[in-house]
Amino acid sequence: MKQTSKQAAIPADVYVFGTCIVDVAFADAGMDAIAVLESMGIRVHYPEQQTCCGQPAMTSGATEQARAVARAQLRLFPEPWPIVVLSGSCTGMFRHHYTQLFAAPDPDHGLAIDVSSRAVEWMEFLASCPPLVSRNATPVKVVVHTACSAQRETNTRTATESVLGHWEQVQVVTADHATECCGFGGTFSVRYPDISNAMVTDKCDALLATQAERIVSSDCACLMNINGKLAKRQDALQGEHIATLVRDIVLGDRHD
Amino acid sequence: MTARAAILSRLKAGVFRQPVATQAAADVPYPLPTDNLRAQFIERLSETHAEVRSCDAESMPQAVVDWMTDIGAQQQWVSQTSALGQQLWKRKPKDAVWVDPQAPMDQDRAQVFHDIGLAVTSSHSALFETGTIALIPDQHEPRTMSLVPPIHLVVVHLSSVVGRFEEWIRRYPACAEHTNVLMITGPSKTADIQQTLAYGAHGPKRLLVMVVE
Amino acid sequence: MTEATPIRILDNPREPSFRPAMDYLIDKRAQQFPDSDDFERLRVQSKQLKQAALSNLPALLEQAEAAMVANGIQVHWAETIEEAQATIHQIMLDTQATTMVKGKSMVSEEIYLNHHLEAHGLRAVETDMGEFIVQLAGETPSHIIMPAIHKSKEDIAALFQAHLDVPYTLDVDELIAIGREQLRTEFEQAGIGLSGVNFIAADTGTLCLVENEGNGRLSTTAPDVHVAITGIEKVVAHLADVPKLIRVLTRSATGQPITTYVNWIHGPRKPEERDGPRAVHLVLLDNGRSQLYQKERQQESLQCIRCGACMNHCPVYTRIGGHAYNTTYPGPIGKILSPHLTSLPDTPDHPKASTLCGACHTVCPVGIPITDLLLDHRAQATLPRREQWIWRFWSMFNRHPRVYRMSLGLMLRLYPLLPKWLGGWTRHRAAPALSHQSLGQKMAARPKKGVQSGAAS
Repeated sequence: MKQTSKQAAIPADVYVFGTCIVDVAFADAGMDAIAVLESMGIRVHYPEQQTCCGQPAMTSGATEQARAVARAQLRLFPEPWPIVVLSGSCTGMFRHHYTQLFAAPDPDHGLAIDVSSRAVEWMEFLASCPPLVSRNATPVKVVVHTACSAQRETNTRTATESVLGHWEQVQVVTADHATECCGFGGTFSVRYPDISNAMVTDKCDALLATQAERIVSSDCACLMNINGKLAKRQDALQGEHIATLVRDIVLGDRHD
Repeated sequence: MTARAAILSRLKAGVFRQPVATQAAADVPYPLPTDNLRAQFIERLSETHAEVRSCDAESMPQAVVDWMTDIGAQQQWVSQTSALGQQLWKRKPKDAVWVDPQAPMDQDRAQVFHDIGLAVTSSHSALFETGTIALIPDQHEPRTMSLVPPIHLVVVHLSSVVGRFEEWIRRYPACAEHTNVLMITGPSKTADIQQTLAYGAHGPKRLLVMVVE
Repeated sequence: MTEATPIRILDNPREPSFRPAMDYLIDKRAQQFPDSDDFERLRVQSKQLKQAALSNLPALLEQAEAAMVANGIQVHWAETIEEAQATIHQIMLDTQATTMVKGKSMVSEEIYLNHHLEAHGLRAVETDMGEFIVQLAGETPSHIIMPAIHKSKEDIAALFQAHLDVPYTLDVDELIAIGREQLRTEFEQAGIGLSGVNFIAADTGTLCLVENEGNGRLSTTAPDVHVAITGIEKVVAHLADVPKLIRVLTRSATGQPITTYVNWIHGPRKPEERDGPRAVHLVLLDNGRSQLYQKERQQESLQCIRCGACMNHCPVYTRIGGHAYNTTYPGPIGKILSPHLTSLPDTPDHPKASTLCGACHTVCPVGIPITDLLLDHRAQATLPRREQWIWRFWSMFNRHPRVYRMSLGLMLRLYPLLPKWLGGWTRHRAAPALSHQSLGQKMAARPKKGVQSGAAS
């Protein structure tokens, strides 16, 4: 499943699957992600019928409901274009769980294989394209949080290193226990609020201890968790979707 | 139905998924170093916290006796019937107190547990990779010898060193005919108190290895 | 057992956490597997060996039994923990021993052996240093490899002072020396010894034990009778498989290339031998394993070799420690194993107390897909009625894009007016900041440039 490191040509068209959480809570970052793709000359197709990949129900044991919602997404990508997903764990859902959710003899088994093979996380997609040119030379110190499922099920970590590594002004620092879970885990954070809090507290402390100016992640569920803690503690920093950082570097200062 | 029959019938009614075939299962060969095996083996032994001396075959019995004298334990276990023990007894210093272990757990155990300061044993072979010494205790050198006294002095012949455990078991399948087979790597130890390493938990606190070339 | 109160995992993080101890074990393991490709190769190999053994389990158990009996080992089978308790109790009565010295055995914890023997006026003395400490404190192990990992040096010093009549000392060497002396007296007197088993080789009938302290060797050498106890899943086909499994077991568990002692036992002492037990027994425990064996997916948890790496790497275990699980086996493996042990009441929350981060899966040396099995447990469980309704509503909402878009728009507009209260979430966090307009709305509002809006084209 690993993406090859060699860069493919930029496709003319891609689908964007925003994910429910970007849709609701990180819409501006979603627009940033799309702006970066369009700046590369790509035609972005955003299926209006899209909702959620089904992951929350699947991880909670509501398999039937997860399958029903996932099935609704399967038909949104008729053309053979890459499906660029704006959140890491959702990419993992498409890529690894759709084929199991629609295992043979499910009539949509073939479709699920096709969709899962085209799903690519946004950073992975950028890493597979020729390097982007920076229009913003302001030095910036960044710490990246990679979602656990993205670490296991996608190539987001190395893709992020490779994309950010192209820009000299971007200094990427590593947090203590960087690969450890932030403590979200969907319903886990509600079932076990105190354990989850202990985890997100350590995560926030580690991220802040790096003295980074920006906290970024490709996974919005983790961001919601981390930001909720940072805001509650009234820490000065908030985590951002990595697309916002990349947009700032590639497209320069915002004038809106 | 007996417990045995019930358990086996449930197991026989189940199917465990067959292992996935892969070519990766073959062992990676692990050849012994060709140059200066002695020095490299001694280094491996030292990494296990063993104390090491070396000698040649001819000087071995005396070198072992000298080491025992240097340690100066009050009572020392030396087998009177093992090949090694017989060589050593011929060179026993006059004032040394040597005892044959007899049947160690059938006699006064308090004495065995508290009065014996050192035991000398031979070894079956050794593993280079981990600095491990293989012992196959028998009636001449019972297993208590390498276990209860606080110091264990063991004689290892360099010619018996094998690359690693996987090769060892291929070479000595007959080890299964012996009541007890032991692989010893360094002295007894524990890190059960706050991850702090301490030696001499229950077995020997010191492992002395005489490497014979 | 169905009447019993379900066992739950406590939402109770410890302060300070177990992080330093876990980091120590994580680092030591990492040093033993410097090359991830090499680890992957070893992992595939061990997984294959265990799966091959399990796929032939009933035959291997019979073969192992025949080999052991030929070697003079007495083999006992126990379907339940009560049967295992009774078997060992009877052996002890037959031996006329009043004290049992115990090497480390999690299966003996699983059958509550100490409690059972004590209830019948017999003593069971834990001799592994960690287990000894835990027993002195009247507790159970909080980790399967490092039983006293929840105790500080100070705790242990105070414990020894109070129970053993020794001066308070924080010197670890001295503390260990105190334990050694104390337990030597027990070894001198004990008439029966108990141990666990790491592997049983079916072809040779070998009982294989790994340990560092020497108490396992003492428990199986000094007393006249040795009783070993283990689960039926511990059998492997060949003695030659054992070194390969030890290679990953000790590296994963304590970051050691090999333990101080690898002890292979083939039977009681022979007539000409001068030490070793005169009788060796093996108790094979089922306690739900044979039912687990019949479960297509969950059966993979029987591959476990009890290295503990999954708990060392688990962020939840690191925060709560082993006691919070309220089961013999804590951590990720405990979450997938405990629901199958017939001696336990329901453990409905065990599979839910995980973020599914997969750290356990990544380090498991026998490739147990722990996260997948947790998901499978969740999928198999019947959801509480309230949750069923939530997910039905969620599904309806997400299957109907028009409903989704309309209610989303409404929600985003009303959200700033709602009280910021989401139960456990907002106890520790600010409520999520939502966008004023969803990404879908923003995209729909863009001037149409022909092909930009995919689904309609």
